[in-house]
Amino acid sequence: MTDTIIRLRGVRKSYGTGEQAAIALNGIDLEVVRGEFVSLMGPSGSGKTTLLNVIAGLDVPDTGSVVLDGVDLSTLADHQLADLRLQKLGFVFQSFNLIPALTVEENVSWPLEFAGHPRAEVRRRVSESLERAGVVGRGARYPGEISGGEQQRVAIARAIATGPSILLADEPTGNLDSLTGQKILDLLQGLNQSQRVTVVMVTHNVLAATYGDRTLEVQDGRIIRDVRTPDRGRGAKAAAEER
Amino acid sequence: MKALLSLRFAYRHFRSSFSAMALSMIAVALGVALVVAVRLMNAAVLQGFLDTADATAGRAALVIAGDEGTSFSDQIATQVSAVPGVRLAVPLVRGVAFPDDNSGELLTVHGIDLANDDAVRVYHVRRGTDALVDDLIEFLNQPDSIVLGRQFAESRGLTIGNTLKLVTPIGVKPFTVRGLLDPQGTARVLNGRLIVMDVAAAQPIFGASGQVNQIDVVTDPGEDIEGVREAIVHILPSGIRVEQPAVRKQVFRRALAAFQTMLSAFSLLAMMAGFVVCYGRLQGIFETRTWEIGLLRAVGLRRARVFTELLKEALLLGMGGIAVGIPLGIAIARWSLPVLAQTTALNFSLPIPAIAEPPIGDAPLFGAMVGIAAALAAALAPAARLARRSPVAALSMLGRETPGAAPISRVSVLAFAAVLLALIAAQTLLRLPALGLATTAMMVIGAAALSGPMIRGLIGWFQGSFGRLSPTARLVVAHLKRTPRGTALTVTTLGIGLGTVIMIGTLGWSFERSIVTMLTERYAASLVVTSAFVRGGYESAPVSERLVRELAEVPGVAAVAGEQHRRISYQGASVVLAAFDSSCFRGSTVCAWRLTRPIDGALDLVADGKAVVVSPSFALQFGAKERDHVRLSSSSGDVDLIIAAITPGQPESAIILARDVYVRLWDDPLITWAHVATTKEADPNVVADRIRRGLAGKYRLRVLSSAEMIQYFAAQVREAFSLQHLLEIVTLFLVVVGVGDTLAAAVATRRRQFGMMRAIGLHRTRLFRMVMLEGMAIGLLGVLLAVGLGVALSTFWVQVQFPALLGWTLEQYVPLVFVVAAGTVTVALCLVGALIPSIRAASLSPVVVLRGE
Repeated sequence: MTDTIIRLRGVRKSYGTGEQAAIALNGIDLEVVRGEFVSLMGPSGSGKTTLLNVIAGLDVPDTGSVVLDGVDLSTLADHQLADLRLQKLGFVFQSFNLIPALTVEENVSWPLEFAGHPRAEVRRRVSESLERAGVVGRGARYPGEISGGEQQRVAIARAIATGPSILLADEPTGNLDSLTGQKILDLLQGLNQSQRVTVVMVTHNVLAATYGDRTLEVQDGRIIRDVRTPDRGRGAKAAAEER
Repeated sequence: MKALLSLRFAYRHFRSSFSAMALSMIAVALGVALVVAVRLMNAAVLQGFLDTADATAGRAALVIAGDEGTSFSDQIATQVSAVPGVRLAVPLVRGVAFPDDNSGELLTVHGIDLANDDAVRVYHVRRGTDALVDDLIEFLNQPDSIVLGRQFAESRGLTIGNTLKLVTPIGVKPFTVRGLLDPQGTARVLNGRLIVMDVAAAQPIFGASGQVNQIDVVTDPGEDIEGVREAIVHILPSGIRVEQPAVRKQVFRRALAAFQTMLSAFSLLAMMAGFVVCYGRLQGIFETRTWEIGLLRAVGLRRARVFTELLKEALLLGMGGIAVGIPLGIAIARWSLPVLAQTTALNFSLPIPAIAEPPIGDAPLFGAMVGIAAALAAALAPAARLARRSPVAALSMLGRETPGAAPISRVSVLAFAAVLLALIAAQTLLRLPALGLATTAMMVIGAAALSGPMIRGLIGWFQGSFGRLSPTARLVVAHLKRTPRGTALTVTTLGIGLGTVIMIGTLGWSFERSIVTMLTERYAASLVVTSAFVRGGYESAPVSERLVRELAEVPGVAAVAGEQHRRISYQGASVVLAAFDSSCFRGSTVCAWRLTRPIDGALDLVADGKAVVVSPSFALQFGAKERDHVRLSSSSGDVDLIIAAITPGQPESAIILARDVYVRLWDDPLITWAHVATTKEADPNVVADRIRRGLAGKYRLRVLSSAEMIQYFAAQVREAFSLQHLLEIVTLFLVVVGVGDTLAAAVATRRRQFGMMRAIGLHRTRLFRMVMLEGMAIGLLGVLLAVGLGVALSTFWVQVQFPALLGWTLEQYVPLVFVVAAGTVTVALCLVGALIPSIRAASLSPVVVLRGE
């Protein structure tokens, strides 16, 4: 029996009204199994980011249902959705989105603090997450003092510190050079494989898409293709071969 | 050249960021409004007093007079008439009276030789050969005859032949109206509140027989006025001066200049607060366009052109500010003018001048210059910083905050502190108004410069002392610590604004408490009797000294002391002469004097007319101390008196002496206050009732307890400082504007951060709380800076500037309740200012914000 962690049924979402209405999602049906690494690909305006937002509960679909780890999101109030995101989801953004006024450690710790973890627990998790993300000896620095790659690693550490079951990544390598981007993808893949964290990643990069188990092609608000990657972990090998 | 002068490019940016600039425009507008209003009011009040001086002088080329309110022999007029070049020497008796209807309306009385038509025409211009009165013989035969200003007569429904009862120094007397004065000359200036009577009839009522207050001299046409003046000087007794009316106007100007400088300083402080708001906002606005500037430079615009275009935007902001500020300032001036006129009269014991609409003069132009200068000055540093940035670096700054200026070095801080201390020391010695203003400005600039280090230090201490802060508080503290520039500017605005309010409040409170303390300590008598009418400022109308004898005969009265106050000229400066009957110096039933380092038998010597006591202001102003001598000159002669002691508490420069000596020198039989000590067995309330029944009707008196008298003076001081409330309201409004503006900008620049936090899982309420907490933290930091600055400024003004400007020595009292209340209100207003930005932050849709990813 499969353990479905994300289930979308008949999800539609449009913006604007009347003739100005733009359909972002046009009847999405999707199931993601726990521990899968799913890549979402498609041209700009195809609805990839909207799909990610709907999965996260940031956006409410016009019709259809979204069930996350057994919880129907339509039954939750705004603050309950926030709690769900804090506890079950991790977010990685294209522009890192670290808070400039906080140190690296503080950027990782604040979601834990708001989740109500004790201070000792917070310190432990921060240390582990940073180590797992490959950020060592940078805890006291500020985001402006570290490289882009390190910033994205810190963002990943922040995302995994709360122990989420789902990691949502929106173009995580978009602002990085290819070598650094590859390292980030390796990290995400590592987390997926070792921690069984379900990853849903939006990307334009075909090579990045090969890091996942499945690649969903999104176009005009629909999933037009759902391709399984036969050789999991092929991504890194393929990249090395291409070089 | 055309492109350089064109505002089109700047206007487009200005229009697109209008909502961001609007609050800065309001700040500039408020500052300009206050500057314009104070300038207008100062000019109008000064002109009002000068007009009064002009009208009083009439067509006279020279005026012979003693000190204010003093009189001299009318025989001097005869002697002056004989001086070559003098065509006319017109004796004049001046006094005040009140209609006996409790209206309190002050009527100026001129006693002149009505039989001499030329004399009459010196003051009262009439059409053609119209006579002032129809039947001069009847007029002169009836000592109750008066000529009344037509405007006043019409307002009371009086016409020729009617009777008017007036309260005079010798009691209530009926007078018959036998002529009306058209609203020209003196009558016009006084709005018809003028009575003209024959000098012989006026002397026994308003002065003394054979005594006049003033002699006006009309010279022969073409005569050298200065030569005639010098000839007159030789025949005058000491204590009487002869001067041209223009000189008297200079006296007014000098007397008012210091007071008006103080008001101008307050308005400029408010303008500085507006400048800081403007600076902070423009910096924020320009910073968000760093990348755009990089684009312009990359396309080919020169640094200087970029700098100029940014300044043009500031110019438009300034123009917007003055467009609102100038009409607002004119409206404030119109509304506040009566208050300022009264305040000025109060401070200088002058009758309140009739002031119509304030003439506009150069106030709008001055306000425009100040507003534009403030806006341009606020833009200079941010524009220069931005224009210097390399295009490549600027283009990479899209969405990022530009690094701040280097922190101020310790050497600079020490150098600044040294300059400031030197200025304070210099002002203590030199007492120059302009130097005091410069020192005040430097103190404010110093506070502004130190706000950043103060914030960092305080936050660091707070973090260390209170490690277990909530996550929300930790985020707020981290943000405030790492963005000191934005925070510092808002804290500075708060600090300057509230600091000014605290300073003005402390000055008013110090003055009030100094007066109250002095009165409480000095007057031991249970009752005070005075006229029910006010002559000018806080001075009651004078009453005949006969009242003292009549009060002494009232059952239950143990002792009575009359008190009279006058301003005299002493060594070229104006000092107060306070004369008390000797019972005030003997024993302590009527008065109790606090003296510092008195000589043996000090008070007995004063009572005997051999010594005086002086105020600390007098001692400071003239470098006087115990055992020094004071030489008082009058038309009746000179007297040399030893200084027996200094009596603290009296703010003004004052000489206190026995009334016997005063009357001997100045022949003034009037008093302003009578202090009544009751016997041990008598109930003061019963004695007060007896006085009211027996004497109040005759003289129109008020009988007050000591506490009531003290409250009366305290209320007068509060009224004198009532203009501070206007400054407080404007300043606190600027505070709300500044804080709301800063937080709104902070929310706007951190939209993405807030959107990310919401996406990760932060509740809306937590975001709301975070921004509100930021507002409160800014408020608390601002209050701290304000208290420090306010106390420093008020200490400087009480200890140094007030003595320099006004010759007042006050004891400093910090109004703790007021400071706490003002601080609480400020923090509350910060929360109000933070409300909308907090709601906006909490309402941010993470989807909309992150769509920009």
